Amino acid sequence: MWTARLVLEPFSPEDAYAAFQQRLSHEVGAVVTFAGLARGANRQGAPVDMLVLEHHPRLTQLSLEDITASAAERFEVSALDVIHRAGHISPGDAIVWAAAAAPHRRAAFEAADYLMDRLKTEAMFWKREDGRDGSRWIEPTDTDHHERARWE
Amino acid sequence: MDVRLYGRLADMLGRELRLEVPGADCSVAEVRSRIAEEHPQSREHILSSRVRACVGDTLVSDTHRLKTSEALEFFPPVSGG
Repeated sequence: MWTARLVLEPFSPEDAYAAFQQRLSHEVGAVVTFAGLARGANRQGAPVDMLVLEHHPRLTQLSLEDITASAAERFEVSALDVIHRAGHISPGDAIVWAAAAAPHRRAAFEAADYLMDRLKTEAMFWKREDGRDGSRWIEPTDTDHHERARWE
Repeated sequence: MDVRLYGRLADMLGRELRLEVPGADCSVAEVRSRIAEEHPQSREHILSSRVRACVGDTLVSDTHRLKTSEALEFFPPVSGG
């Protein structure tokens, strides 16, 4: 059982967790959750006023579904939930939420880790940081690609 | 033909780009070259193999020949999370 959702408005990881927990069966003994937040500064330390995530009208949602379905197939999990924001995101707001529930902890940790590694490098978004010094398009780093490659 | 652009390419050239292309069945590679000629500021990006081409929601190679009804999209490298 998995869900993957593109959202264009702010969402609350706390509410996402409450909703996720409600749909879990009694076989679940472990829940791992990850929330990615927009930072107020970039890697060079310069202030970021806004993070902008552009999306594709159809393929972005499909990419989220493809990644989540792969995780469901690959790991012994009971439930997965992915929520990904697009649009203009203020520092401190949630960009992404990934949750994995499983009978035992290892599968839940691994599924959440896998989800995030693939979302960073394959989810169909184009990401830009807007700051007082201008705008900068962000692409996956070598580290992101290296971490994605761990799962091949 | 109309070409739809995203990310950095849309910043440079706009979201929709109208192009006069040579013939109805030109290849994706020919469209890339035409854009690079008409918009030299985009050359480094539009000719990059990291920028993928998409037709009908499916990624296509540079040898794909476009039918007149097909809309072409170019995707710079993606990044979520």
